[in-house]
Amino acid sequence: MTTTFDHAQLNDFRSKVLAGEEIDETELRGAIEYLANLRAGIASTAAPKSKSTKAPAKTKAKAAKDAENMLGDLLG
Amino acid sequence: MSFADEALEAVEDMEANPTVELIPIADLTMPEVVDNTQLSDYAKCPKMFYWARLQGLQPGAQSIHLHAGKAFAKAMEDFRVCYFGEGGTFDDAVAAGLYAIIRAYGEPTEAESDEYWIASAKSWEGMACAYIHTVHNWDPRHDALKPVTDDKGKPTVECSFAIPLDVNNPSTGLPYLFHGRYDLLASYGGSLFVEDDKTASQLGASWSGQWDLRSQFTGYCKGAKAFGVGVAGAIIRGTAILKTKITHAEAIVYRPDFLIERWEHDVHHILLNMNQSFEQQFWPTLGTFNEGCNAYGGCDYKQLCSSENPEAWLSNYHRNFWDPTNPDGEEVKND
Repeated sequence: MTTTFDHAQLNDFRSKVLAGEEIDETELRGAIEYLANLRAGIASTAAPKSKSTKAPAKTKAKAAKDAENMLGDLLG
Repeated sequence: MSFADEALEAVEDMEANPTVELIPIADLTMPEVVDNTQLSDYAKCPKMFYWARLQGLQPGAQSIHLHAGKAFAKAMEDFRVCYFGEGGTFDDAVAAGLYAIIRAYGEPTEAESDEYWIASAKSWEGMACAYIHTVHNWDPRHDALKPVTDDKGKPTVECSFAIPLDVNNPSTGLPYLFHGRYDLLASYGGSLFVEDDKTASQLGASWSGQWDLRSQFTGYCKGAKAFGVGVAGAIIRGTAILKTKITHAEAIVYRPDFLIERWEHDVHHILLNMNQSFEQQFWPTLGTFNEGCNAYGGCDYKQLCSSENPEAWLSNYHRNFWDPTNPDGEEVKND
């Protein structure tokens, strides 16, 4: 999906939400797509990642080590 | 006008328009309910605890970090309630969270028109963007972390608890209550965990390590276990909100019984010291010994502690007592 949504429309969208006005589905999709693409991080909201989060390798290794140590504590 | 003239004018203005007065010592009361933030405040600097918790002084300008963090938390809550509790689709839930973050961030304010807010990574657009990235990164359709449902079938989102402690409050004569609130109670890899979402300015190499012994999560585990929920520890999911990108990281910390028992002893020690400070009305400025004055861009009360006449600076503050059981300061209805 290629968005044609712009910042002015985003501000209109925000005002409508704050005013409790009904939001059109196309407008909602446009706002989400626009916001998702504001900053790098995910390729597209239309194609969410198929897997659960991937913690950084360092974090995973550390968590595994922690789990091993803590298991030792739990088992006395 | 020179900087010195402006500063002098500001001081004169503050002295001429004091909006808050210090509460007399005889009228001060200790909080009936304490949470990890209050205990941490006292442990870091009793004087900060005195200004913030006993005098109820809050800085005039609202912190964008606090405001943005609250809005993000509300979005995550509504997203989970919609998806897990109401059977909404993923798209429905994303929309529910987006509406929530817009409402929680609120109307464009005067502060928001300030250059600092506009330039901040935590503008409303930045936070909404971070929220959308976060729910895609930890997409519940594929996430191994699943919320536990209560006996009514509702997901245990935003779980609050209060447990009595073994130290009495000198103002009431009753035991202090410890209050906590975590974002989610969830199963993960066959074990139960409390889950907490964190926003950050960056997720460096030390990000995950900072939670290893953090009292906040030991307190949450104590609270869960007090209600018969045998949690193994806590999962902390971090979202870093930078001007050019959004990044994520996850940390898992364990809380075996010996750490929880030690936490209880530590909490009691802090409370006994708090009581002693209260009885003697002596609140040492320990932040000057442990870098507390400079933490997070500078303590909010540095101005008061730096002055021989702190009353002259009170117009920079307003009074708002922190109630851990009502973090949003909502009006309590008795119906």
